[in-house]
Amino acid sequence: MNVVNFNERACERYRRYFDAYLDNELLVETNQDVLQHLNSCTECARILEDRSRTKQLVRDAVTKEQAPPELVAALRSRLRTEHPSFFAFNTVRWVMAAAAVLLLAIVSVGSLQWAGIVQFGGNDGVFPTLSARVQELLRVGLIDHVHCAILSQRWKQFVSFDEMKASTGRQALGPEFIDLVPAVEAKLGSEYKLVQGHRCVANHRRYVHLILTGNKGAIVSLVITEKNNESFSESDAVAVMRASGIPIYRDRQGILEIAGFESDKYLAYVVSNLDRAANLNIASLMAPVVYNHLHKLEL
Amino acid sequence: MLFGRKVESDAFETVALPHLNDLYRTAVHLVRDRTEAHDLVQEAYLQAWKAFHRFEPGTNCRAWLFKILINEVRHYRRRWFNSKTVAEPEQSFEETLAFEPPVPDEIQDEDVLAALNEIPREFREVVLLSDVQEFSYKEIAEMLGIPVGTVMSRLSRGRKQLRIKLASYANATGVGRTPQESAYERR
Repeated sequence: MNVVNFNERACERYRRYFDAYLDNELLVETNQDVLQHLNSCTECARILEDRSRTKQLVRDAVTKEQAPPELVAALRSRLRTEHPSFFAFNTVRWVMAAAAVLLLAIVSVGSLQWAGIVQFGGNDGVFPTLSARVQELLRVGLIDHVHCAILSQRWKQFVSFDEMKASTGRQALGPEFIDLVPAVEAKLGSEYKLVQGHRCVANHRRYVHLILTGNKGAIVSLVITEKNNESFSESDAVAVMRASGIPIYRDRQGILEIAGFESDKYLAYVVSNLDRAANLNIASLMAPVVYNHLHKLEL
Repeated sequence: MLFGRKVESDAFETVALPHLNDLYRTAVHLVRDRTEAHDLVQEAYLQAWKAFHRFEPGTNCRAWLFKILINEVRHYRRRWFNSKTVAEPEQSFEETLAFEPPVPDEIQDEDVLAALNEIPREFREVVLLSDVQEFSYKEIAEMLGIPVGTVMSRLSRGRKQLRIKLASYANATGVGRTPQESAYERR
């Protein structure tokens, strides 16, 4: 969009901008100039009205066309048989190496953003990536998974439920969160093993953290943290799915999938090296259990 | 894989299928053939499904699907018409005239569609994306891989050709003429 300087008041000059005017693609100043001219020129007003009506005629005529029902049926049938080409599964070693790089990147970019040096995830393009705000919210969960489960290698340190229950230190889940352990285990079944649950701090933020491992080197974190005036629903995020009515948001950072959801006072995340579908599945299984648990705490 | 593709395909259907009608009607007018449009839209959706892991929730799914469709249409054209490069259609005599004939109210949808299908494909493409699908110039430019200025000039020329054709249909059928004009012609 360019500012147009109308020096000559010849109709022809204004008419060149009528298309952009109709499409709302002119800057406010130019728009006002065109409007002013229209108020004083009946022929230009007639022409603009004609152009606007033609546009409407085309839209009305074309939108009467409907996709045939057999196209919808054929499409659904082919979608069921075709396989999406998801990211191949990763080995634990690769996860470790990539996680280190990723954490460095998260912290570096986070610091730069904090300092106002860089902005990313803006909405300037036609296909914008997730907004910076949503990415930032989802990164809150990612940071703890990378820092605590991967780099501190807690995923290797099995702690039994009895030990977690008996623990009383700063890292203990405590009475507020200990019941989440059997609830989550029951939801995920035998394919996933709950390695440990604890409270931890990463990047100056406190978390409740459950770590699970699965087949082929899968490492999954359930991460919960108190909100700090943050909310997915108040951002421009669009939920990718709903589990029992709870909106779930997602992002991918390198090899890690992040799914996030929220209660009134808490943000919760499922972060893993699984593919998108599997991570979303775990999130959809956990979300109702976790949400209900958090909701009880909030009462 | 622990869980099936059910969640993924549900998510895809939820975000992508609501745009099916828009994609289909655009394809119909881009290739002017319903059977081809049917196949192209199917192919575009399958491409989108295969690349769905790269789609970011919260971004413009409709624009993403249209870009895929337009690529499919281009492949189709290359396959059948071997048309690799596109030269801007030459300006017709009518286009150079400053006079804009009025487009009558009573014009039928069939006439509008016939006029639309008669204008050059490059113009039809931007008219469909702008007037029907209401994408911004910037979105259209990115979809088609052309500068915004080219979008604007194609749109302007496309709309002008359309108006000229609609006015000429009206003249040919007597639609929209005043009783005085009709009486004059009967003399």
